[in-house]
Amino acid sequence: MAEKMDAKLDYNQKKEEVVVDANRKLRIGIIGCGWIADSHIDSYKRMPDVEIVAGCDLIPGKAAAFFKKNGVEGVKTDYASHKEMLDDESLQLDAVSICTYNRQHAEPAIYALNKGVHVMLEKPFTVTIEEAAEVMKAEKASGKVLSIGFQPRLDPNMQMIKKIVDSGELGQIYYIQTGGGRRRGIPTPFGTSFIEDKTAGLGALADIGCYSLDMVLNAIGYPKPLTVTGYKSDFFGKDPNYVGYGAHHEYADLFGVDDFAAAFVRLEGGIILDFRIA
Amino acid sequence: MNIDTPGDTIILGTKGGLRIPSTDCWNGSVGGPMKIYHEVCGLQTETVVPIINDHGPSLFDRKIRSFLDACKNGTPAPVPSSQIIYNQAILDGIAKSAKVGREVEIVIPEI
Ligand SMILES: NC(=O)c1ccc[n+]([C@@H]2O[C@H](COP(=O)([O-])OP(=O)(O)OC[C@H]3O[C@@H](n4cnc5c(N)ncnc54)[C@H](O)[C@@H]3O)[C@@H](O)[C@H]2O)c1
Repeated sequence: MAEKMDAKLDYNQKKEEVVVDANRKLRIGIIGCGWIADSHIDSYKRMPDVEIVAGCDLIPGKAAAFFKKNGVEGVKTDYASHKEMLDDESLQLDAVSICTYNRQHAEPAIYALNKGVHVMLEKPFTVTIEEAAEVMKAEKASGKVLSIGFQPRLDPNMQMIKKIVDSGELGQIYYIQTGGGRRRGIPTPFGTSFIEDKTAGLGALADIGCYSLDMVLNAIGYPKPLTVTGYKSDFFGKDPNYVGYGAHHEYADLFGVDDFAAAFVRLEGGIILDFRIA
Repeated sequence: MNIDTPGDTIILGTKGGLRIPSTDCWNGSVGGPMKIYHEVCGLQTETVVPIINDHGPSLFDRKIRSFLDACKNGTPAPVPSSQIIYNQAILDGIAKSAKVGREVEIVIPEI
């Protein structure tokens, strides 16, 4: 079998030519101009059928500086919040990227969908299941596109996992172990939005746990989860001398999420998911 | 945590098992060539799944492109909420179970 699958196969050899109608442009806004917004604007700039027309951030001046840094001109940024931007009908927005911290995923997504705007929402979906359900209600009522930012879905090696499961090569799936994590990886390079409860809501679980879950659940067709026994801890995050904080000993006081979590989950179809993340 | 990795990802099935080598974070690709553990003519055999060389656009470009195509063509979202609600239900369930210190039932709200 190994011989048959050519290791040198170039993904692009199989790529269908995608024809983009550059005459039909989409008017795009960006909500939240922090770290990940850079990757969104970088990609939008490469798309021939996109006009980036607006952006906003809760921190005054941050959006304007963001577009300047990224060399995009003529973008309206004088908005105090996502609401003001989405209320500005002169923008005629088609779609927004929501690049805010986790606790600010649901509200802007609902507001945008209610305004009839398509939404690219960064992962994790939300913090709570209740928020996710509210977003989905707005999505349903709007008939607009809501996509969640899981880019590994588009990696050909990741896609092989699903192909292998679907091929029947593994037979009936009954047990999955997944998770992963970083030995020293509490993310504070750009401040504390990943470690404070009021911004992040969840720690390693939402930062990287959701990726491993998506990898395996997508492979097996996303069966419904039934029950869970979960555990969370914060021994490292709460330690003022945690090496990753450097001189920022005060981060320990601000830390309000998990730096480790483990769970035993029962999924529909009699499948067990054994999960741990740090 | 005080360990290099809490383990590779493994998917066990009745005919074969798949090992996906770990990475720090599954936000891009697999950590190395995957292996299928199965039996061939009664012999326990391991098949290495070669890494596919990917010279295409970045994953972020694909993420944005697939979203824009769905917006323009009225096709379904590339990563739909109908799936990710289950991902969120697990994260939320872990938080809730950790808080009460026992197993909890996962209830998916009606949409
Ligand atoms: N897909 C990926 O690979 C990837 C990578 C990193 C982060 N993320 C996700 O992206 C999100 C943002 O992460 P980040 O690292 O960019 O965080 P960040 O803290 O650097 O940036 C978030 C920005 O959003 C702004 N903001 C918050 N609420 C807002 C609102 N209602 N309106 C306008 N602006 C608002 C904040 O002021 C901040 O500037 C997180 O949910 C994270 O999980 C995804």
